[in-house]
Amino acid sequence: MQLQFQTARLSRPARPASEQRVGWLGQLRVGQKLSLTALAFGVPLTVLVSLLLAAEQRDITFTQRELTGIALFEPLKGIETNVNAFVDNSLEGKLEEAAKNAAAVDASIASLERQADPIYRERIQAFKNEWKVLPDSIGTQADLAIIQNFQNLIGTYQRGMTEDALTQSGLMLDPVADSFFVMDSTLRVLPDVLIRLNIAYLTTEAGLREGGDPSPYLDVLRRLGVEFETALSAYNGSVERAVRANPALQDTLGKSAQVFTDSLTPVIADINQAVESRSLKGINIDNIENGASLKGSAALNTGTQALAGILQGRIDESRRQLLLTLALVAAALVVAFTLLIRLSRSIVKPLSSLTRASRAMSQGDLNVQVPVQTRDELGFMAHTFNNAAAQLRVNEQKNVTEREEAQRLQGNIGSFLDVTMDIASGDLTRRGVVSEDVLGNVVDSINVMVDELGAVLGEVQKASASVTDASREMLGTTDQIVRGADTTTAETRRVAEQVRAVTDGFREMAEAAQQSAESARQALAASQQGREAVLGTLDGMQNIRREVQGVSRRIKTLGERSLEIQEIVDTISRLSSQTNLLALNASIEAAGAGAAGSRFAIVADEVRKLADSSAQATARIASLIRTVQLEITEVVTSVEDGTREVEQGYRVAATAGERIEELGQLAAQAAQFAERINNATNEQVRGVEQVNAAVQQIGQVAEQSHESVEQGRAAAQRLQHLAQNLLQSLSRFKLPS
Amino acid sequence: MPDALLVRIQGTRLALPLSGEQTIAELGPVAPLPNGEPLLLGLTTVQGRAVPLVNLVPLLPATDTGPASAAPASADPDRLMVLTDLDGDRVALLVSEVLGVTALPTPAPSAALLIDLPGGPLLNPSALLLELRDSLER
Repeated sequence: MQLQFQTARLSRPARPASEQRVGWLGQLRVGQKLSLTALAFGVPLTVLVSLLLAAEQRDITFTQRELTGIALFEPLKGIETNVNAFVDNSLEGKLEEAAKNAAAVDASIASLERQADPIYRERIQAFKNEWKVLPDSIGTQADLAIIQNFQNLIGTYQRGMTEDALTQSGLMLDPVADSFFVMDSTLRVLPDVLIRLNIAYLTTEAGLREGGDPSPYLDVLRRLGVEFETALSAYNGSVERAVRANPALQDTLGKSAQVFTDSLTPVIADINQAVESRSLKGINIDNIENGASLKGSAALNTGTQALAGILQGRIDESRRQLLLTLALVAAALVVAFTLLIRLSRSIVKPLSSLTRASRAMSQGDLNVQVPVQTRDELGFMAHTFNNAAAQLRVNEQKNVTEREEAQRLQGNIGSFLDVTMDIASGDLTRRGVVSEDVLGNVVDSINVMVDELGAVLGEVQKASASVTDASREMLGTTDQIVRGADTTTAETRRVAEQVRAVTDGFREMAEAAQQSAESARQALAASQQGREAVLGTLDGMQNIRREVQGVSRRIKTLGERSLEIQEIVDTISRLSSQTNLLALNASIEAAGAGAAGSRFAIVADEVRKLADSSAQATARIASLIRTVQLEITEVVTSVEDGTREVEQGYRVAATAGERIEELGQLAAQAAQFAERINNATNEQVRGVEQVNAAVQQIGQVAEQSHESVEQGRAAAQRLQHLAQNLLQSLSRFKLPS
Repeated sequence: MPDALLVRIQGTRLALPLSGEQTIAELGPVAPLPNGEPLLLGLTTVQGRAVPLVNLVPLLPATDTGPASAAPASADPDRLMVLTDLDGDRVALLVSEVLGVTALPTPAPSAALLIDLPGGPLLNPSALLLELRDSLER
């Protein structure tokens, strides 16, 4: 029930109250949440990778700008070379060639102006204006002054324009050691050296051409010599650092720099020699023009090519790096996307199966089974769900079985209650149906108990019937005894009359002694009659004794029967006690069975009450039996008393018979011995008086035995009454035949 | 409202907690055990199993009914026993009479042998087990 309620809550899609509580995350499906997670990780990664790629691209662009900046040095080199050639040719008087050189200088300036950024054009414009003034000095000023102007022009603008070009191209800010030092040696230091070499050449040539005082020229050369050494050591230092940073440059830049230094060394030595000797003659012009100058140009070309090669190599390397990064990012994206798809499918698919299965279960289909495919929490949940479904199926099956069993047990209890009500109302022929459930054992036990109870009650009925019969027979016997006693009384009265007559006779005999013979015969006859009467009395007494003995035997039999009844009653009492125990144990079992045993507890209580009423009935029967036994004991005592009285009467009657016989003999003798009659008459009178007393005693004994017999009769009547009461008590039980 | 079995042991009425394990039987032959007296009367058999027979009388408070009740107590020997379960051990308790099954209010946890309740004192099986163990160890 709880489970159905929960699944109903889950399956209810639109519930306004819960919609208010659930946030926007709660309304997303699991797949959407996973996509959102991937997006949350993907966006920063994409931004990071984009920034990385942009930085790479920026490096490439920077390096490309550097490479482009190298091209700026072509016009710069052209300007420097052509201005130098223009001055040289002008001083030598080769005006045509000087004009060509001037045109070349203009073309180079125009080219430089085109390539340079607008912000650097100011210096170029200034140089252009200065340059236009230089040809005017040709022919108007001394050679040395022209050379000085040339030196100023070049010294002022060449260095500045070189710095501008380096700044514009970004070469000045190159972050890598080898390219920076190649740039430093080739594009910054080497042009300075070359310019000074050209100035030295022009100065030497002009000095030699003029042939006058060489002092001004030597001053210039001395200064240049000092500057040469400084610039050359700076150049060699930069080249050395570049080679140290990139040993591969040793073959190109290192070698050309070495060749240049070797060619420049004799020139410096010549200049120093000339300064010391104060003569320009020692200087070998050819060494300067065709040796050092050419080697310097070669070193400049080699350095420029090396720099371009390094930068181009760096661009290529960066591009390769960029492509590789792009390929790696793309591969990582493909792998991550595939993994994400598989991951979300592995989560969403079991969840969908579980949802479908739980929806089916909420609609009452308990035969759902979610295939367990994974070993994670979802797999565990599916396994648990399958177990729960199996448990629910088992529980449903068990509930159906228990309901059926409870209905069956309820029916059995109802029918058995009807049976026990019938049994309690006394119908002992009814039996409960023995079923296979827990009630069956109890019903079986109660059936056995009712069987035994019925049998015992039947026995009691039979015993009380036989008691009734015996008491009826005893009543008949006592009637006979009463009749015998009445006869005895009548006989004794008759004997008394006879004795009185005998006494009268004796008295007449005493009065008429003469008629003693006759009287003696009469006395003999009377004595014979008396003897017969005594014999009759003896017979009566014999009968009384026999009857009394019979009564005594029957009463003893009755006592034995009542003992048997006592044993039966004990058996019933034991059965009641065991039934009571059985009912109490049944009550305990019923209490242990909980709510299902409550009706069974009522049955057990009914059985216990039945056992209680059985015990009470048994106690009543036992009490009745005890009363009967007491009565019987009294009757036995009375009958034994009567028997003793009868015995005594018999003995007295026998004595009387003997006396009467003696009396006859005496009467017979009296006839013969008449004279002895008077003497004997007194004795006879005494003897007759004794007879009279004996007869009276017999009468009294007979009266007493009559009373005893009456008491026995009353006891027998009470016994019969008790037996009838017992029968009546038992009649309410309907017993099996 | 747990069920309880209401019994009388000589002059004392008390309730035994009912766990469904109880069985009432008549007293059978008892084999005495050494050093068992007075609590442990010996071994007897119930439902074919040998179980110790326990006499609760020395543990119960003396009843103040005077000598008038002493005579019926001695004249009415205990012939019934209740087989019960003391924390897993099955023992038989000697009783004079079983009065029936009743329902009692749930008692507060207590270590006393007899817990006083409105329906009469309730026997505490755990305390009885402790008393028995103390008696046997002494």
